[in-house]
Amino acid sequence: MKTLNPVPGMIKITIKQAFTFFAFIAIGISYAYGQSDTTKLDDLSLKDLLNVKIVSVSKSAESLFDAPLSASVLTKEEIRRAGCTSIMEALRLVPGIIVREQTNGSYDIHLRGMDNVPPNAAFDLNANTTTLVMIDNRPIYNYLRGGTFWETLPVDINDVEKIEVVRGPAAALYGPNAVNGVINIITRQIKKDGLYIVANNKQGSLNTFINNASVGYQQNKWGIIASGNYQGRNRSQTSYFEFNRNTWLQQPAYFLSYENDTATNVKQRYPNPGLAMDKYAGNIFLNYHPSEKIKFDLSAGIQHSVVQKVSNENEVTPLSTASSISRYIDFRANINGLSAQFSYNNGTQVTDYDPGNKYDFTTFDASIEYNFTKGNFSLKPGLGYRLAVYDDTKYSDTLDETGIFNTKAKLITQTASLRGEYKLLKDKLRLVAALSANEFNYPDTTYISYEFAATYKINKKHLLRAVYSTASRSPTIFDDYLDQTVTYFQTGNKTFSKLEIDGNQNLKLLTENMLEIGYRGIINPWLNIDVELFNILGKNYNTLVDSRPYTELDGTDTVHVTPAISTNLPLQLVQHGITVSLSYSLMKLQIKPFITVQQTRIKNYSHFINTPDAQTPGAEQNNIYSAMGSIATLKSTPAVFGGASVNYVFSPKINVNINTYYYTEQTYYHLSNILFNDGIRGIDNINAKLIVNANIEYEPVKGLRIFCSGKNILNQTSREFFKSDVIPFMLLAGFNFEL
Amino acid sequence: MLKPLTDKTSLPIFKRTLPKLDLLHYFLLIARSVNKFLFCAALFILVSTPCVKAQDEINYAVYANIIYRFTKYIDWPDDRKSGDFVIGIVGNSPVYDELVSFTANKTVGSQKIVIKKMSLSASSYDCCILFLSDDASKNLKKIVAETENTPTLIVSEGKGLALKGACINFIIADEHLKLEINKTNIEKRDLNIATELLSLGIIVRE
Repeated sequence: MKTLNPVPGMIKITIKQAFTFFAFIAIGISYAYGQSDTTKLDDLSLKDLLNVKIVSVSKSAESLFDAPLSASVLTKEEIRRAGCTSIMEALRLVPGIIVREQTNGSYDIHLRGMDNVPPNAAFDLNANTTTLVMIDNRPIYNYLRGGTFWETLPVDINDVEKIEVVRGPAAALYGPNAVNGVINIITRQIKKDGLYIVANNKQGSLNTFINNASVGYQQNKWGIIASGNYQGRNRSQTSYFEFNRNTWLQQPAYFLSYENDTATNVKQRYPNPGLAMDKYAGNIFLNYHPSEKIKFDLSAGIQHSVVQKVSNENEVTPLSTASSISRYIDFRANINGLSAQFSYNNGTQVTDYDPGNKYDFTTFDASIEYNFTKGNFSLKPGLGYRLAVYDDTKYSDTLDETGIFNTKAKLITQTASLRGEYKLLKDKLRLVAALSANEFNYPDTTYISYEFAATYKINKKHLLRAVYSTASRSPTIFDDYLDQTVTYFQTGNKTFSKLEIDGNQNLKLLTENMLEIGYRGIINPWLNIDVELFNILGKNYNTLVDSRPYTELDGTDTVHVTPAISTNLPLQLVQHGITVSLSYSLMKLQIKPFITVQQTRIKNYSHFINTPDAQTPGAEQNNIYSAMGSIATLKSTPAVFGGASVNYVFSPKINVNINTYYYTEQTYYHLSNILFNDGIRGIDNINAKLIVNANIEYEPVKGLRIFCSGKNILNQTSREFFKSDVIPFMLLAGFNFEL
Repeated sequence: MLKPLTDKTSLPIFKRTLPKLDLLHYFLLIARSVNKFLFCAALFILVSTPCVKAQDEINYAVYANIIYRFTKYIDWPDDRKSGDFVIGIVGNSPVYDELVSFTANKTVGSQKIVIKKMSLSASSYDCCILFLSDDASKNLKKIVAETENTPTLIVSEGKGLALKGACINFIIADEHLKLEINKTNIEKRDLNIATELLSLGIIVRE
């Protein structure tokens, strides 16, 4: 039995031991309470029973117990009761997600980790590109370097009905980029005719102000909601960490870069050192539902955000000031078996307040699916089209290549998919198969993603399931179109030397394969258990690699070019682990603990970032291939993480919630580690951390709740990400109103 | 992004050109994609078993719970207030399992609750509540006739069945359960229904 990545000072835990431990807890609790079959339903009045939603449709609103994939749902009530200040923070209540706060309100979010890959790379190459975030099935995917700019979400907690999370490769079902999972934010709709109002107000430590509200009206088949949100937050500190001097600097007059060059535009880069986040957005949701089988939904919105976060490599300090202004429109139609969605999003973003990091973008997504049903046979074919256009020519000198990619870059993805299900053995065995073919303009190759899943329902209370899936990520602008001249200088008469970094339109796309088995059980009416064992293989990672130099002629000048090109690395990630979630709910008490124990290993990883034919001294021996056959623990992904939410309804008017989040020690390796190569700079040990939050709600009149919440009440101030801010205790108070 | 921090001197005229997608090229891309899709579709059909429709998942625990609640809102004649309180199920329905599970430790007054599966061809239906599942609903008239004038609460599920002899009929509207109540059919069977239950249902009149 293999031991999962032991952390100094911690007890070694094997998967078998973890299983045994949780089985023991589950069985122990089930025997400890010999209650009758009194379910939550039993506590409801007959009138309330008739208000219970009793229908859920496969795929669109899957019964969680029967879901073939490993999935979790977080409801708006759970988010509110936990006192979460944002959608990102709420993800700490979901099993299998690693959420680290960088600055007040900005988070690094990874499903099951597999982060900081490749190690020792620029921040740009370490973003989470493998989780597909959606709002009402509309992909919120930033194609610049892949992933999600969380602060640019136009919706906030007031808009959220629930958050669905699917863990594991699911591109065959959800489209490209659902490589390691999906986070789908489902927005609220008005449930009954008449006026609809939701308002949230929160303020507290670090000048944190969170206000959001929705006003709507529904009449028969029509409904409209207008919503708006604002978040203003300050950092917990005003100092910045400088890579070169390996120290924190208080509003310095200058920064030193890796090469000891002086960057004096500090005020331009960081106009407001104390600011963590300033964002606001507005949305309109319009729906027309003439019947249960015919529904039309239209939403549109605009957002503006300025944050300081870690996501952009600027060679001097982890934090960058990033801003975004964008707008979207999304139309969804469901007509009997036909479902179609068209969305358009465009805007202007700045990844760093340093010249050359600004661009315009437009994305267009279209998908159409039809559910053919004949007797017991049905197929759901679908077609999808995605266009992402990123253009920085307005903001850069394309001749001097002062922008990021210095062109109008296009990424096109065309998708054809097919999904089906088959139930047999009196519906006990359910087989799900999904397949999608994705064709990209670059690389000019068709990638097949597929998913095979089976559930076997032993009886109504016990379900076994298995999934085998593979999924690929789409290319990014950074991968395909990166085009920068880093240095250019004269070396002699009419001879010049140039260091440039380039994209690569022939990269193999990052792909993950997963085998997962799971068990869900209703141990007794008040205790459910969900166990998933997973094994994931990730490959085709890429980074900028120093490659073979060449000479080009520029008129009568000779230019010696040393290129760093986006190149696939031979490294592979192998992750296996277990996630266990329990849900205990009896009368006024609800407890939901969850834990993931995993081992993530990296194979064939060499810390050299050059090809054998590069100009680097010793390149033939020391290059990206020089560690073939090696295997090591990926220290940036925690071996154990999880949390728990404990909710107690003291009285109909008072609710108390305590929720925790925990992860073990990690080590982050930044690009500066291999540039300075002194074993100190570029390495950050992130301590294990237990975060405890508490929230007390009081409802003096129906619909109005006054609350007080403490975030990180143990005041565990250690930073959660590479050289980012300390995260202190925060006290917040406010109200929630719902009509 | 990795930005140069040093000033550049003269830079060469070096500009990458992008392949342009004209309409024809674009059409070819789609055509190739569709071809690959058809291939994949064929492969999929070959390797996978036939697929079924995405079925509605019904929470029958709610049905069971409500049927049990009827015992608190319906008054049976005295001769049914002793012995076992029998709830019969006709047809193949998950409601049976839910009721067995849900009523395991429950009683109606001092009466033990017994859940029985009953056949369509049964000679008699000796029970207090008789639930006809959807698949048995076409036999509603026959069962109504065979239980006529007995204090048996006929509960059904399906559109319009409260007008075809059922006392209480479950229908699903807007993903919620609704009760259609035929007060006349209930009273014909010497049963009394509480006003509270009437107020929660849709009163159906013939």
